[in-house]
Amino acid sequence: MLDLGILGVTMRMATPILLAGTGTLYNDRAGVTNITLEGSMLLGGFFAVACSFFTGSWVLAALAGIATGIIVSLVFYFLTSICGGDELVVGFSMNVLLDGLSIFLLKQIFHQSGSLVDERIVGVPQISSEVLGGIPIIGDLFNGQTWIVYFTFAFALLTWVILYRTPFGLKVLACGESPQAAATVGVKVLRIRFICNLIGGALCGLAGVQISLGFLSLFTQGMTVGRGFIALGSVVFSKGNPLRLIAVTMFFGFAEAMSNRVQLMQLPSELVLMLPYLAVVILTFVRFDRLKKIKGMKDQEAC
Amino acid sequence: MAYAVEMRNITKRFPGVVANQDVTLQVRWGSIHGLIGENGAGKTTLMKVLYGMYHPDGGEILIDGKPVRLKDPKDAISHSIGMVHQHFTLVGSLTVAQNIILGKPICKKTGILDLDRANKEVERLGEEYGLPVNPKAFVKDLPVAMQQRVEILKVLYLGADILIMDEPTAVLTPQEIQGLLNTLLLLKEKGKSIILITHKLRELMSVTDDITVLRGGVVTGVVKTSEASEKRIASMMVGKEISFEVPKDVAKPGEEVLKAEHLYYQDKFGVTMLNDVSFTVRKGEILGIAGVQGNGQTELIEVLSGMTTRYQGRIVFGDREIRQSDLPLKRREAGLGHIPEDRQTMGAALAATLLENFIMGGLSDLEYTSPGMISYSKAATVAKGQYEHFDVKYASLGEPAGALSGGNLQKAIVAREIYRNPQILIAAQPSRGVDIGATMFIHEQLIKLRDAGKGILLVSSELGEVMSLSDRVIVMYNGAIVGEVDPKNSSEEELGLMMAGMKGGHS
Amino acid sequence: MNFEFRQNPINVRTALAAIFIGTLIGFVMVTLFGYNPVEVFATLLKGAFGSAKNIATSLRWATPLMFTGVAAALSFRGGMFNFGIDGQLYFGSLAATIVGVICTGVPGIILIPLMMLTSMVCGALWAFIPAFVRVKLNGSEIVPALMMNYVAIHLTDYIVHYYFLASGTNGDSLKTERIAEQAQFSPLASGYQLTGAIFIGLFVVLAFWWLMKKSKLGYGISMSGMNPTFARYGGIQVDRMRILVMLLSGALAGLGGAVEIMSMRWRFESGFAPSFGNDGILTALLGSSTPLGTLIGAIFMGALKSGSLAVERYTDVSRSLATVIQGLIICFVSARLISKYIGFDKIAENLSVLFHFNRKAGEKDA
Repeated sequence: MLDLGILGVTMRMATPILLAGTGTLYNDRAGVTNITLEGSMLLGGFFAVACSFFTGSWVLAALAGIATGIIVSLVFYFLTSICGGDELVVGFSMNVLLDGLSIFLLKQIFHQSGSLVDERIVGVPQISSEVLGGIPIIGDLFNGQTWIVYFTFAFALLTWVILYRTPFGLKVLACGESPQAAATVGVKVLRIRFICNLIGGALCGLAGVQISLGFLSLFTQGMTVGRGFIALGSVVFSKGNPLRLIAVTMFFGFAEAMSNRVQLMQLPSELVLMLPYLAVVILTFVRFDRLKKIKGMKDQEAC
Repeated sequence: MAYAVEMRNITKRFPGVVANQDVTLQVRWGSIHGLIGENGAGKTTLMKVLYGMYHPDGGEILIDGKPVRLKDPKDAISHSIGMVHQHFTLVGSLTVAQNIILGKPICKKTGILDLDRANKEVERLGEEYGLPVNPKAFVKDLPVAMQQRVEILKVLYLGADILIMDEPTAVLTPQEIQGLLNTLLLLKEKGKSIILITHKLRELMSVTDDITVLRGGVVTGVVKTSEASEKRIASMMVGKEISFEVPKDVAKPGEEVLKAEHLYYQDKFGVTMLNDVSFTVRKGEILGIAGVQGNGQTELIEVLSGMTTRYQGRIVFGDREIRQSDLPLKRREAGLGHIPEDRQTMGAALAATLLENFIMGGLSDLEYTSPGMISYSKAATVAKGQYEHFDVKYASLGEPAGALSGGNLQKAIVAREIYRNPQILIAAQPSRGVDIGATMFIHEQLIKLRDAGKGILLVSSELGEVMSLSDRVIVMYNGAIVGEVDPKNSSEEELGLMMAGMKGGHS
Repeated sequence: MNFEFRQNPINVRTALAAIFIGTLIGFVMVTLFGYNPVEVFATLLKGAFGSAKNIATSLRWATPLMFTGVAAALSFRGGMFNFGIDGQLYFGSLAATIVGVICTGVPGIILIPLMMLTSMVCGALWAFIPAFVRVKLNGSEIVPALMMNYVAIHLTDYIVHYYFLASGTNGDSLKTERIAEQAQFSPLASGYQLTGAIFIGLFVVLAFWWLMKKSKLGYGISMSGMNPTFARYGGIQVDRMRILVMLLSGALAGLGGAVEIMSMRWRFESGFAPSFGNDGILTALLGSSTPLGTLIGAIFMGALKSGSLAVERYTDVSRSLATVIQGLIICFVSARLISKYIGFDKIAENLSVLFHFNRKAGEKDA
């Protein structure tokens, strides 16, 4: 059960969560509460499948997914920042709306209800190399993954650099934590937030592509099954740090990989499916700040 | 030589208030210019106009003799104006160097931040101006004085030659204040011009070259520091206000109704806001607390009313000992009434109806409640009567409290609190932002309550109000009580000096 | 991230403008796919109100929303965002079903209240966890509440699959045996989908009205939601109110599920209530969290659902059109400036003057 193959599955499962999480991280750090990630992923996944179906090109499909995410984030920005909508309310109702829209379009374009499976849908190819596969652990982790997986982890690392080592990142951090501080030295807060919103949308769209074309090359209604909210939770738990986000999402990816794996055995699948969600709830109760404090006190005692 | 800054006939209005009226300010190059005045005199507004945060309704601004238009802080920065705000505008989770370079990042050719160079630059800047900082420290870990240093360096880094310092000493200890004043002198030596906003006289006298005094949005005096005396400035600052003559008899104080002993309180940053405060209020008297805002009055009220329970010391209401853990409900039951200083967030729920606002605090009033239930129609009768009695003007009890004007809302709050028949009433800034008619009315009501044998604790930063209403006045400075005066036998000048931290009026 | 939520009061005008724009966009979409919007719209209206039977169906779908809508409205009034209504509903209704399946010998007059009580206790239990996170751990209630939805869905599936599976199914469809016959509601008239459940729903709305308009508790809840500082100043224990409001909200969600089972399904089935929770939240948002508004909102949403079912049956347009329209409407309700930009404001104002219900619903009732 615990062979190294599970590492690869963990990576695959962690990818959409990490991708959407990274996008939302930009929003989070810039002070935007955008909870539309579930809906963007779903609709992004849908348009990727639709585009793949019609054009047969996974490149165009991925672009369609990203474009969808960007459009969704533009609508969100318009409704909240321009029209004065409440971020939580608009985010919530957009999730409902996008879920409904994916089903509606599925029915109206493909005359399918429930799911779309067709051999014309081209999935995102997996990259395998014997050299890579030969390396222990690294091979297990990275061999036979889609390029989205590589991109995701690379971009999450890059995000750390962007946030903490570039002028743009510096401005993002300032806007989120103290908009006045940013404004008094002449940083344009609304523009920074707009850019973050776009990045968030694009990455959520791509996360949808990984779910629909990276796993199985099909679309099912509601196929994101709360991964967007798990990603949201991950951002909250990681306190906006990209490296911590990678760790948290890997943990959730592992929980999901375990549930896939354990299902094949005699364990009740329902309980196992519950794992990732339960993990999020349990994580809410772990008070990292308090742990740190206790550890600090112990260190002091040791001195 | 042209003035570094010349503001000519600046007028700035806000809805219902004129914050600056025809204000002219002239600051010479290489000088420290003091801007002094009471709360609400318009100092900060004037400086925000200079920093491009507000746009004046009239007048013009000249920098180095050239007229300029300042649309936003960025414009002000490009005219080498910098402002150190009263409430620091720093990002806590970033390092000192990152905060300083935020407005003008230092990058390598690749577009990546060059933090090494930034750190060195910040260190160099710190040494140059005698403000050493650790560029790698996180701002949130720094003590207040250090944060202020970062704030000053940030302004200097952006190339400011004209520095606006808004109440920079308000948050500092006496030793730190001395350090800051030395820094200001050094900056002056380096050719910078500084506008120092303060209401502490001693600082003003020790470092400034010129002083402009504001009162009620108008300039009441421009003097050279070397030719001025503290007393003269204090009287320009306080002025011969129209003292609201409130007809009142001599107080007939009875037994003690509120006793506070050795109150200590630290805020969440660990700064001591109350330092061994003890006093008593007797039945049938008004005890006034005078002081510049931010010297512990707000915290004292929070402690007394139970809005915070993290204090030390003993509180007694009448013959009832108040435990530290007692929440506001218990304290209200023990006879406390409270007119809060912030009526928008604590004194009323603006989105709730007037009637709902009236009911607050009176959930055990038998007039309109029965166990578990409220009769809104009975409450409406009571509220209508009480509001009428207090001359509150409103369209219907169903309209949101936010629809009322400031004065009316304040009257409604006073009406509510007095209706509860408190034995002790805390009245904090009861006439702030209220027109003269309503102020007079509120004062009359407070006197009436006093004559009915209740104890009143009046906290106000308006000297005139404290002097005319109170039977005894104590002065708070830096979280402690620095003295008690008899309002009938002391001058406002004397009180002004005490409020500015000069005990007993002697320096 | 800022998860603090405070609902802004919505007036009838904004709601009408939002409904108008939302529906309009919905039908533009339908037109784009080559359908005749007038025909689809007519079918929708007919499906919702066309006959006594259709009205009964609309009310049938409005009934669960009265429970979940009030559950959501109550949490909003107390300043909490109960995102976990679905989970509370599933958990509560499974518990009630188990009672209904086991206690076959108990007379209905006892069994029905017993099932209702069980569902309320279990729903409240499920809501306690996010409330605890908010009040005691100083975190946000939103993420744990959302996750508890998925946990509840899988957990109830597990319990049904391994302990209460109906005989004759091999695990391909997860459902329990029917609940005892004396706990099954029958239609008010044969051929109609409406049962006595609607009266329980109306009672819940009435109780909500009573709570908010007559009781001290409701006053405390409403004030803690509107301005926690003011509430604390006036002697209300805000933290206690927040926990209580979530418990009540969870209990109502659970009750809604139990009533749906007693009234329509007679057994617990996996996925029997796919969107009652979300729809309830939308209902409360549309109705500005007032009792009357929530009732009207529930009926509107029920009619939309019933109409969309008819649309799917007769015109080949997906019933999810209703979901899209719902989502759009709430977006526009919140983004209130929209109506100003496009100038529909005036139309909506005229409409509300025409119907004279400017002051009746919407605005804060007091």
